[in-house]
Amino acid sequence: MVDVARYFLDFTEKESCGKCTPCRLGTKQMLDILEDIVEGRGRPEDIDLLEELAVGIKAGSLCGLGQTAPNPVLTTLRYFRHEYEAHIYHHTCPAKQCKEFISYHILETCIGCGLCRRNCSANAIIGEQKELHHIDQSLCHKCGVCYEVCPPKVFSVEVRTGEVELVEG
Amino acid sequence: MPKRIKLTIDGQEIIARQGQNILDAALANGIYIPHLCHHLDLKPVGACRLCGIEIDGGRMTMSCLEPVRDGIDVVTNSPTIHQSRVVTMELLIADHHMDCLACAAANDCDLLTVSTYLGIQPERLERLRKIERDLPIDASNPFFLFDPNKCVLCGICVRTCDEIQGARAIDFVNRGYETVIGAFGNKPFVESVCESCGECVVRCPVGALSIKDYKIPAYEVDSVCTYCGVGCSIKLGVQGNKIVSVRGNREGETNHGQLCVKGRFGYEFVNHPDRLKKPMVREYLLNGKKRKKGDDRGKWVETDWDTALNITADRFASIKKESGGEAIGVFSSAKCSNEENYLMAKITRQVLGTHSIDHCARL
Repeated sequence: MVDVARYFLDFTEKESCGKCTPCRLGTKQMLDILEDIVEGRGRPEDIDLLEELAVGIKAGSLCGLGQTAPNPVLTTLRYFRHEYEAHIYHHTCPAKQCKEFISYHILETCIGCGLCRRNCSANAIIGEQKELHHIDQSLCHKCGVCYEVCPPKVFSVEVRTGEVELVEG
Repeated sequence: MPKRIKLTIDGQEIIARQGQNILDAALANGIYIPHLCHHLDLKPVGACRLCGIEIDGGRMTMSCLEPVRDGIDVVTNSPTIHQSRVVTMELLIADHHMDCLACAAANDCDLLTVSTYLGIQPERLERLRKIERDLPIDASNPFFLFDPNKCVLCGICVRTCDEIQGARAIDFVNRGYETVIGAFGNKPFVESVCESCGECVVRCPVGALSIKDYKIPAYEVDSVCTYCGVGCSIKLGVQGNKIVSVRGNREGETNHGQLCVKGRFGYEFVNHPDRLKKPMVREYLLNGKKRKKGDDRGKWVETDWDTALNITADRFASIKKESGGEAIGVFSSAKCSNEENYLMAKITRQVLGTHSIDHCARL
């Protein structure tokens, strides 16, 4: 949900006309903070900061764009505060959305069909035909294609968050 | 006679004129309301969002855009208003190239004035992401510079060029966070229709537009600009024995504080090393010889006034005798006083015997 807030701020920051200070600079500031949180650079004071900025921007803006731009931030903070805290304090993404905090893994139920290996854009999947496949975490850029193409009755790709990355083992 | 309006601001009863906005009325009565995009000479736009007030307990509205009305009760500060102002200012400071020690506006910066009024705390500023852009400074104009990294986008310069000067050389370029002040096509100022009058520079509330090599004068002398017949009232800024700056005098009946590029920036001739201090005459004239053929007319030699005037009078008399007065033409200057120009006309027509007299304004 943090990424949802970031997505809306990305939109409003680009659409801002730039006439009034709170919206022009405030949407940019909030976007920068959210991008930092989503990419692993969130700071403990960011949650309160976002809330303060949001209230000030809502009150000071000239038009409806500035007055409603902080809403996704305010409502996600109200109902999904634990997600913000997970990103900042635990470096995990409960929604399994933020690439910085997730990793893809192949389970033992893999039948070795090779679909994931053939479609992997980073050539990060290693495995012999009809044998358990394995994702090289150092090459994987979390595009999610392996997750999409794994046959439904096998469903051996799992997205995890908060895993300490191990080297080949 | 505009109607008098009675209203209350922060518990103080104020008399205002009909048509005034609340911000102007407050400032005229010594009540400070923070503002950045407001200027006495310009129409208000409500862009900076700092001058918020609450009228009769209602929601925050911008005082620069609210007309005065009889009997209203205005409050210039409240927790909501203060929070909004603090956030706005912190955002401006995070985006501003803080260069106060070296900045030309350090003595008179509205950003500093508002920050001091609000009580901005440095530890709060550290939480924000510094989003300083590294935009190029436009130093193309010979008289002033534009630093977009200090610009707060109040729009005062744009409105000045539009409403006061009428040149319309600068405007907002791009949109949203990418907005910058620029000339048409975002070309350097010197390549635009900018007249270098400097009216935008003197009104900039921060150090974005500043005069090159600006020196703060030790004292000021009231004077009249010598360049043309308008006779703008000016205040010469003096350091020691030299003029270091010029600004318009708002009391001036002809210019109301405005100046053109010549008046504002053209004072260097006063102490210029090339300026003549004694009459000079070509050596051949002093020795009574004829002028040599070709471009080389010989050396310049210093002389005294009597010699110079005698030589001039003798030469005019002999030209008039040989070829008639019509062979002489006279060019006068706006730098001369009315009395001097009157005498020039008299001498030209009655003594030299020609109507061919003109004036530098024709150039």
